[in-house]
Amino acid sequence: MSSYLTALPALVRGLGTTFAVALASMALAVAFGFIAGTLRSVLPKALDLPLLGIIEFLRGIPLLVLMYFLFFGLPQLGIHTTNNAAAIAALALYAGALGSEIVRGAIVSIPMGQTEAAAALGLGTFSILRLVVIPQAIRRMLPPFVALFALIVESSSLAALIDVTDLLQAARQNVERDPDIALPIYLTVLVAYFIVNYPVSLASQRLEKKLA
Amino acid sequence: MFPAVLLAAALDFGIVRDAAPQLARGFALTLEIAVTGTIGALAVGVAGAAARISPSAAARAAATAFTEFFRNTPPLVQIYFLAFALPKLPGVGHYLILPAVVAATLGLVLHQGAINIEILRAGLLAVPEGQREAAAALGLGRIDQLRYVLVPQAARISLPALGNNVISLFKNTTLVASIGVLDLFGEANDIIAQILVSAELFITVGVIYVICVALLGTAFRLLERRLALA
Repeated sequence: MSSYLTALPALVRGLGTTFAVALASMALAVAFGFIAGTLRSVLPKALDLPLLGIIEFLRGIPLLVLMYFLFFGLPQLGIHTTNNAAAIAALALYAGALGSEIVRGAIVSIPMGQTEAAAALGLGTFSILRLVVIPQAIRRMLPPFVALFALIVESSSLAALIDVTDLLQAARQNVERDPDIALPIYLTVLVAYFIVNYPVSLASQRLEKKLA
Repeated sequence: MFPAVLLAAALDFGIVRDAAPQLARGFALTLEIAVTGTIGALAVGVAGAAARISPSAAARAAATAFTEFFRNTPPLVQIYFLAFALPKLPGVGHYLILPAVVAATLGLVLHQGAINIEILRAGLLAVPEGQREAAAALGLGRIDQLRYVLVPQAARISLPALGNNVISLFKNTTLVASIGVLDLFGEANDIIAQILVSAELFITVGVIYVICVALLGTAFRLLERRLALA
């Protein structure tokens, strides 16, 4: 049991890394989601198709395969990354692809009349999006983006498998040193993820009800 | 992202041809885990959703706690817990040493099952109250109301979300490789550890998963159209 207590500081540091990885991935995913989602809502079909292909690919490939490709596969092509960068990039690409669907869905859900009225007032495509459509669409994006953050936190545990010292990796290292503490350690890790993610899921559900 | 010429020069897909039999074995196990997991997760979903609408407050509370805990914790950590922590339970632990493939599949069933509970519950709640009242007025008991009136409608409402969850489970089968199960991804990693070349194999395996996900997505859309009440 004392070995469990000595492992706790490492778990706390690991949780810090989990947060850092998740927040960095979220920021990049929101940026990617906004750019790709907005483009997809305005581009003509022929130009939209390659973008749709990339997004469907990123949504279809298992996150772990993408992460391993970025970390172990890319060096073979002369591109070297660190494990943190590979983990964040994989999470950002995966969540960004989902984010682009959120943004595109919210934009196309705004009634056409809004765009037509803005166009009648002489606004250009970019101004219509920036001043009229996106401000209204953002309210609808909020609940799914909050839920996306919970998914990112959960999925960031895969980073442990490429040696990012996140919460799960800290647990794995300590259990390797003393297998007898596996039960309290993994229970602690499960509860820690739950304490982080449950309020986030709840917030997403509340927002959805409030904005509906 | 990379010029095609550079890719073609740096990559040698002959490796993949040599690895094909081993990858095929892995893919068979991936399918086996995906099918078992999907059936298990559906069973958990049905049982849990039934508990969540049951008249017993204790059953409702237990099912809600199960749902919230297992869908808000990472499936990978659940798999680690089942594989490495469960056998350490005092007294009963040595009965709980599960083969890796069982622990891994069970982890997927718990996580994806918890999501199914939420999907099915939402589906049942989305059936208009008048349907249940009409069924009751026709003299149907509680079970028959569910069986003939509520569940068939709820299943249609839930189908798109259930389909997405099946796809998510399929993608998450890759997690089983992390505890040494030789599924498609596990076999790929096994080959990589021997030949120390990885990009070709990750690309190949990635494309296989993407194709399967696309096929599953199409199958579910067709099923939705077939079951739609015109």
